[in-house]
Amino acid sequence: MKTSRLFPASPYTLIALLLLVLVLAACSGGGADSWAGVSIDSDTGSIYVSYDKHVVAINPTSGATQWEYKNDDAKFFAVPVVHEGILYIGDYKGRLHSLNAETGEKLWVYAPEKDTLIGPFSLDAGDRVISGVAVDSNLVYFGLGSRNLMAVSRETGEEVWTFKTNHGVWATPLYVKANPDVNSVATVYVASLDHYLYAVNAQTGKELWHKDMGGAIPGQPAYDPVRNWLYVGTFVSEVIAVDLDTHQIVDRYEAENWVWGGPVYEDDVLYFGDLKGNLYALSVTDDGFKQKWKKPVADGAIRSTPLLTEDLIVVGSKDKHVYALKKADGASQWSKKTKGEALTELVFVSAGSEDTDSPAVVVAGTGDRERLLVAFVLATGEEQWHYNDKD
Amino acid sequence: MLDLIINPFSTILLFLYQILGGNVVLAIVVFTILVRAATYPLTIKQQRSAKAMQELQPELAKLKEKYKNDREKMAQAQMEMYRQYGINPLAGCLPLIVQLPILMGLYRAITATLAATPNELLDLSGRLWVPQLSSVVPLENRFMWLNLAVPDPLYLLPVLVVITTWLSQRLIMPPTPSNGSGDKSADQAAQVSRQMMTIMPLMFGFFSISFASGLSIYFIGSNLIGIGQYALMGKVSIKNLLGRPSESAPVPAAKTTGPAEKTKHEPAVEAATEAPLKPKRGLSQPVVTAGKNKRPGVYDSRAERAKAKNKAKS
Repeated sequence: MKTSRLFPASPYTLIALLLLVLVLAACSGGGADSWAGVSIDSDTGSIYVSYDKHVVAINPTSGATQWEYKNDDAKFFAVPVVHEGILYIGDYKGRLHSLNAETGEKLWVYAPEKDTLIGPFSLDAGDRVISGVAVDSNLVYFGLGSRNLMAVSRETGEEVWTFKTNHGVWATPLYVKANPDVNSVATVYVASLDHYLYAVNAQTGKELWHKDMGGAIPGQPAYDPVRNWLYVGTFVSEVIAVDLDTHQIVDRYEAENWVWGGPVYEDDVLYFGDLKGNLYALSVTDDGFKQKWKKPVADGAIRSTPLLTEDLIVVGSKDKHVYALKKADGASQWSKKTKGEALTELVFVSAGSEDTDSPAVVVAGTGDRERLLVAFVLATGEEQWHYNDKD
Repeated sequence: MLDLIINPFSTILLFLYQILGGNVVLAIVVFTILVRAATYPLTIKQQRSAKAMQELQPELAKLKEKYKNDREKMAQAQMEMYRQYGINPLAGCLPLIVQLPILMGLYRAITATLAATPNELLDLSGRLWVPQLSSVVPLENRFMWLNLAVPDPLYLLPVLVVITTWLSQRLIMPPTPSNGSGDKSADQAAQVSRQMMTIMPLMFGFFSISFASGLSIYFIGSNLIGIGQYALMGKVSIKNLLGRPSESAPVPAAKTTGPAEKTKHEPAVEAATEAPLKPKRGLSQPVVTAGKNKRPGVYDSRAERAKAKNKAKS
């Protein structure tokens, strides 16, 4: 009686192999869950949330669903952006969807062209859209997750130009109008994971200049119209000020960890968070940065750009909390638990009229589908409503 | 717990990428070699244990026959046999289980550093032991026609993954023939083994189609390096490719060994060639493998111990 079982035949080994298969399937696919992207139409007050394979419009006072748009074969990581009644959002297959913001009706979908090699086979792997969009009167600008900035027609969704970068563009591009006073053309500023900040002619897609920031730039740049400066956060834990006139770096501030969410500028103060859970406020002068305050706020990463209201700065964190602090000194106002990770930008909904008696709220997107959106009363942090995606 | 593996792996991968001139494929290959080298003792242990178990199969079959109606006694006798030969029946798969978290750590490190998804990249920030390596995050994702953060659109890498996985299995593991003895469990094991030989390459091919092609580079590199590693250990048999029993699988090899090769074998194996179904050794006899002690760097003291024990008894 002879067998030559080396190792596959052992039941223990088979169990181990099957375990390996399960584990690989679990851990490789685990990271593909999207996060909720939230935005608001400042004209109508409607809230839009993108999550998994759909986009939903929600009533800002009740949290009721207004319409829902389903994408069949790709998830959304990008935040929906509404401009003049049209909603734009990119999906995880590199397409850009244009929808009627009032009804959810699809207007057009831009899909990047692929050169096929033989039959369905292509050398082009396709791409994904992680960034939001910037919009001007004619074009929509958005980054692709693996590389390049695209510009498509607002009317037709046809590709107008492509600007090549050497890595992905995860940051929402920043469109700055032409300024005849300083003889500048309309410019799109693109922050890329290839470490460069690019200035691109918005009409032609030609590069105007670029500057090495020393690390990947995942978040949208903030524009300072007073000084004509741009502020970016990087994966080398820096916030950098760039003078758009000279194209030179003015100052750098070193944070404790990666700065993913773009900084936000208001009244000579720059606010941002880092992935260690710290919040920062920097005073900006013509000489550069000076730390105003720094607070260890959260136990998890602060990925999104902070939301500024009249007195408060509000952020969500990976530690499943939303935090509100005083803008002036960083003093804590309230913190509230969310069921899922709060990784995306929050939106502010101002108080309704006296008739409706609805208070001002901040709406946070979370990673938990049962409480995908949670609206907190701005003054107290009390929960006003939540949106359950499973209903 | 898994962080203990993912964090250093991510750091090492980024460090390799930095010192290897930003060549991500080279970094993954060197990384794979380092992991293979680090787990070499486990591989050796697994090999030895599997070999020892293999050699005991004739004795086990006899026990099964003897105690076919009494499972309890069968189990006792089996354990006694393992004890006598100093074998831990789990030792063959324990190293494999130990390697599972290592594999998981590798996958996570590769997908995170390539920024395959935003969530994975987000987790990477707290994993780096050397914060200065943040400057090379994320890794360059372009290699030839590939975007390493997404699956290969040409399906060439998945095909290569399937082929190299199949090759490594065929070259390293000898075919598992049904012994035709009527031993149900042995037949089932042979059948399952053959199924696994088919399923595993397809399974890894499926992963390759579904996930970042940087992972496929790792799969292919790991398979090729594994074949090379086993070849250096003298464990690779081209005959396995043709479905013929290998010399490294002693008993089936005895059936096909030519005269010239016979001279290399120990007498016990030659006897097996002439009368394969006849038991060669009793329980009190040590198991001696063809050419075992002649293989450089591999020495099995169990046979020596068993010999000494028998000598003392007699």
